[in-house]
Amino acid sequence: MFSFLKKKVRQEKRREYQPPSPVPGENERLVASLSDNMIKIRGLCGNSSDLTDRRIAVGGVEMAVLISEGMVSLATFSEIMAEPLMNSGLGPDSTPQEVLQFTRTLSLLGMDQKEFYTYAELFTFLDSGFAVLLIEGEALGVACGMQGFSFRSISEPSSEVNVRGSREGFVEPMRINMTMIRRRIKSPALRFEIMSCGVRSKTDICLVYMSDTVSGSLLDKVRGRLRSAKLDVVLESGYLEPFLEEGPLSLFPGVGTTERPDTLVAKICEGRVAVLVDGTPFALITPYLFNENFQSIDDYTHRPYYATFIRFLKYAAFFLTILLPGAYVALATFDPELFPNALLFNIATSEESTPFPLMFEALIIHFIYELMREAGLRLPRPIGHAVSIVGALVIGDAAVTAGLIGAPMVMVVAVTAISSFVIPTLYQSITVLRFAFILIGGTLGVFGITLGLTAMLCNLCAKRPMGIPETAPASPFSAYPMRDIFTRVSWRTLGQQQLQVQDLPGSEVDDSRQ
Amino acid sequence: MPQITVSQFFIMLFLCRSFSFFTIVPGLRESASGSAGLASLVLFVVFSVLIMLPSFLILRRQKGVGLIEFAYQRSQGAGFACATLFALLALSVAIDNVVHFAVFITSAVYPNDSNVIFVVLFTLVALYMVYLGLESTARFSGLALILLLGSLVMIVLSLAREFDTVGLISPFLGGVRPVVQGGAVTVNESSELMLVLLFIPYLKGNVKKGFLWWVLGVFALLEGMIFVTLCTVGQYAVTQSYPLYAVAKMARLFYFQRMDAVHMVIWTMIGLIKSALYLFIAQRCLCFLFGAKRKNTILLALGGITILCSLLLAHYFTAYQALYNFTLTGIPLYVAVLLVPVLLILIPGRRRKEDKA
Repeated sequence: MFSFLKKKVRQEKRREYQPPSPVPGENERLVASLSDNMIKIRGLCGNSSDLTDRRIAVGGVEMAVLISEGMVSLATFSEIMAEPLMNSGLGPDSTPQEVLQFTRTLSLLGMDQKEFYTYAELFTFLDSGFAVLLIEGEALGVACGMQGFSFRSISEPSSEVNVRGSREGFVEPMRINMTMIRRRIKSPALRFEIMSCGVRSKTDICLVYMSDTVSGSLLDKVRGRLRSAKLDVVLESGYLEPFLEEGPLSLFPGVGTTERPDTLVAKICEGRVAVLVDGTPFALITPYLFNENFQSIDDYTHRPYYATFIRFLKYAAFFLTILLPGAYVALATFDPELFPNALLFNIATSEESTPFPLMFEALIIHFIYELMREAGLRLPRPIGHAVSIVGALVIGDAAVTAGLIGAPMVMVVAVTAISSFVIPTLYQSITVLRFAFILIGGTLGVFGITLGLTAMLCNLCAKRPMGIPETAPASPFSAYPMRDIFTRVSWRTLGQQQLQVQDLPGSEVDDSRQ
Repeated sequence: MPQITVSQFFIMLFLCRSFSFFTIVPGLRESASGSAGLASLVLFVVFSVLIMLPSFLILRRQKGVGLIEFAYQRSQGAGFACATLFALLALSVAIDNVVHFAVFITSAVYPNDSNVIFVVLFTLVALYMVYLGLESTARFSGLALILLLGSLVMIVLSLAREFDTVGLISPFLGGVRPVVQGGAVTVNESSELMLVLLFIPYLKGNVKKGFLWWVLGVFALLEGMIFVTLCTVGQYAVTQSYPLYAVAKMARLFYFQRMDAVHMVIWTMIGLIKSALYLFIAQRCLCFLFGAKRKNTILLALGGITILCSLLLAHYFTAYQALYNFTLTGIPLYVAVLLVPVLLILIPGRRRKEDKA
């Protein structure tokens, strides 16, 4: 039986990723005949309804203009392409080469003007909002960027709200995001490297880094990993996250995300590499250390003493949210003598009337809380407020009145939930760990919680995102970088020397520059 | 062997050494108790430095090579013997650690519970820590040190109002013999000294400075805790099986009536670090014998042996007492720290004479 299972597993592992076959003829080169090109194009796209073409004559030479309906700004098209072409001044006996020369050097049909030679490239440009020109007698095409598709306007990021600072967040088009970054760093050292990812989707992704700060080996590693990502489609930055992480099954993230251009700029100035993905406002940042989950842009705009206080609050909130339910269950079940007398009597009185053991009470109530939280996320906004009413009634009142759970447990859930909202980036880890610690505390007591906590912290200490210890600079310890970890010193000190990730203790990243 | 910094390494050793202080098992030690313990710790510092001097001088000549690699360079047989010896020593310390833990927790904390679940779970978590690698345990040790120092400060502060120096008596009241004996036993318990020899070439930093800081740190910790214990419970501490646990039970801070849960959490973490470190050494030594490719299999085997032996020794306590008393004689430690390095140096000396002949 074991040999049969082993054989099955080996067979499954041999099924490697098979990229989708290209459409027949997609990679062929364009021909000189305009009619043949048009027939081929219509054939390749199955005469798709959104492909619009128009034949015109410029200087006596027939041309075709192709656009994808809705992708191109018609006003821009009229102003910078149609009008110059109609008023080209070319004679009626012009040759295709003269017309091509006109588009290349004697006109400015668009700042983003490229030439291409294959049908695959033609479709890539069409689907990216370019207007494409094909000239009779020339086996190439000219693509001019005049994107005019609709997109969400720049607004405050929904996942990273701040009190003071910019209200701009990334949007779906990658190039708009690039401009937001460029406006914040007016330095030639800021570099954008555009790549394509996704065999079918050919999604544009962009590496963003500071060439005078980033480590060459780190950049090469990121590039290599992204190139090795074999995916059919890339619709969100989360598709690429596992390829940038060392241990994708780990509880804690080794790659960060941000919706804020100011946060991204701050990170790349410390030698990190950011990845923008077209179609999503969430950018990736690597390497991402554990202490960054407790940092926010507000920390750097508030006064140092308050920012330090908030940092301590966040660290306390993290341990509170993962350990409080489990510790409460463990102590109340196995070591009630550790509670102060008054509290012990209250807990005993409330638990006297509840039918379930404390561990099951905790599991049930946290499960209901997670259900409501998830429902609140997915519900349409008009009826979303119903979730809060149901939550307050069900958990806050009915469950306690009916004697299903004790009032202390409601308090524990409330404190736990509020604490988890303080560190939204760690919510996935926190949710799983919370349930794990409830189970461990309910079965093994404080001893089990200690074992679980030790295993969790060792797992965290073992991670090395891009060769940098996840727990640096707390462990391995270095005093200088600690200025911005548990405390946040004044900008007069922070601004004296820029700290880079490759300088952190235990870092395997060399300091070679691009 | 992975490279770790000197500070990380000696923090791990500091925690390992403090573990045995937390879990003094009754009837096993003939060391100095009470005020005599305060003086014997001074001798511990002196003896530790004197014992390690020959090995430091010998290995100073062998830069970049650990003791086992050095043995292999002399002869394959010497390397085999050295690796086996250190594997057995490390495994025995790991087993002893687990037994210590099991006996303490089932006698002082959870007296109605069986050893089995504690031994099995404790060993499994230690194996997981070894699997993650020494670097993660070293980094975790830094965090554990902060927790240890924080918890000790909490316990001491909460006991401040109970302090009374009437419990302190002259350390030489029973003569010099208990003090000297106590110093010697404290050194004999310090199996961490052999780890220094194995790790020297793989540490980044000044090893001698780190070693001195370690010795002084252990001295300060043990001296401070004995002092606090004597000042709070006085000579009554001598009659207690687990004096530090008794002190933690007495401690009260703000609304918390007892601090023994804090004590247990810290002591469990430190015990796990110690077990993981010694199991790592045992695994590493056995990898020399059987190949590095089998390291996971070796680890599983070590885990199984540890669990089995720990359960047996916890059950047959007399056998454990005999083994532990043998450890306290210092023979295993002096063989590892003194005899082996000296023998390894002598071997090439004899060979050169043979070659000339």
